[in-house]
Amino acid sequence: MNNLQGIIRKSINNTTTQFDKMGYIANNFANYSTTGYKSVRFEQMLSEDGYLTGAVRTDYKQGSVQLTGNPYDIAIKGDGFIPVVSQTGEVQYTRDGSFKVSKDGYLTTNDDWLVGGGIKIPSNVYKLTIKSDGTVTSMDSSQSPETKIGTIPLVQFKNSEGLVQGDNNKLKATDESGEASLIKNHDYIAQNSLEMSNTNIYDSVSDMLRLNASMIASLRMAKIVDDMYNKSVNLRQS
Amino acid sequence: MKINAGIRYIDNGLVASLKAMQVQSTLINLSNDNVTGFDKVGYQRKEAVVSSFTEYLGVNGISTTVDDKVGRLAATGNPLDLAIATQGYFQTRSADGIKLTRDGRFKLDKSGNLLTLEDSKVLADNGTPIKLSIIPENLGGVVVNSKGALSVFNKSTNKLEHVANIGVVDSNGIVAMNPEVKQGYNEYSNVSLEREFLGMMPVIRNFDANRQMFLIESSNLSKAISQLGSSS
Repeated sequence: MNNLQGIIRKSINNTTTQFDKMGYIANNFANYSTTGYKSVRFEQMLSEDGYLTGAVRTDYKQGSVQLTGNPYDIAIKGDGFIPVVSQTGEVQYTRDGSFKVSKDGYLTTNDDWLVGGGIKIPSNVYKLTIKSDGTVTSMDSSQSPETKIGTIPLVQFKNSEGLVQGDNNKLKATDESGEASLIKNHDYIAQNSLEMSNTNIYDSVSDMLRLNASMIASLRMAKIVDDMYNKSVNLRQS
Repeated sequence: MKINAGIRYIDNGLVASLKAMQVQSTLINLSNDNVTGFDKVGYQRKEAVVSSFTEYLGVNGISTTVDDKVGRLAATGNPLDLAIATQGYFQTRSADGIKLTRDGRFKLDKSGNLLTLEDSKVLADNGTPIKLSIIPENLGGVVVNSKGALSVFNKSTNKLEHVANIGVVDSNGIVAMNPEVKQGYNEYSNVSLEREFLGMMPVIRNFDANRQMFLIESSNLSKAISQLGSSS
């Protein structure tokens, strides 16, 4: 498209795509303090003929791990996801380890999804320990021996980028991500701490400045071309 | 053009002005492409070549070349983001055929194929699609050295295994001898916005001037018609 209308359309297309990108950056900012959140990037691709498309990429970089002192908080230091099961039996995956004990005694996520296959915490628990390989043990009193009450499973996918957003800070497996496979003999789990989001404020701001410049430039182009268009249409004696 | 049986009017001027205006709007179109490409990864600035006799040829006298200066490199930290710090292109293959691109944002699928964001396969220097023999646990296990040799970490042997050399070719498809591939970087365009907008100003003025010329000639013509044609 070489005519003036084509130019205006390309400018508008670029402007709206930049707005889309702004939305994704805002999303990352909004989730800056969401535990275990993985930031997303809106990647734009410009084809040879000037047609603009976008793709969303999730960045699975490790977020920083923060100590909380709450024994039900765990962070994953490394790869993997914790499978959680909803009340209707649906399985999704999360890196948000801010767990709690539900009213019937099971270890659950904040929105009441069972962790793994269901780990029942004894009601008279004195000390709960989660080992780095995910084993959960409890002590009834300071003298009693540790008894194993379950394991927090950790799974990985062949292609984590194929996962899609599920409910509330969870991810769903798709055909593209492949099947979940259990990670064995790992030492990725850290008790008493939480993984913060991996949103990089500086990168996001720099992205935003860049998209803003592009947006303003394209709008300015639209204005310039609109003037030319107007002058071409009125090619009669004034 | 013959008016009123005998009076001749040279209308070449009108056509020349119109052609010139078309040429200017085509140049604006190129600048617009550059402005759009400003923040796009791997975009290379297009430059117009206006040949001689464009005043007669019109838009056919314009051809474009690509400015192959290396653009702005930005660190992303993603091991599958590659940038070429020298001249050259990555080769990708899709159903539409082989394409050259400087956009090095790649990804892996679950069977280990190295793909572009639009799911085209990335080709090695021998022309075959790159497929990782081992799927690394995380992307940190993929290492690309500055010559484009891609290796993957094998956890069972604790060694890096060479997979393929990423093909970097010149614009004619010939493998570049000494490419400089940077892992964890994206290359943004080599467009500078201020240059584009400054470069557009003469084009717009030229457009306006030609429009004025057209209007003057048009009014001369109408004067000729109305005055010479009157019976007084």
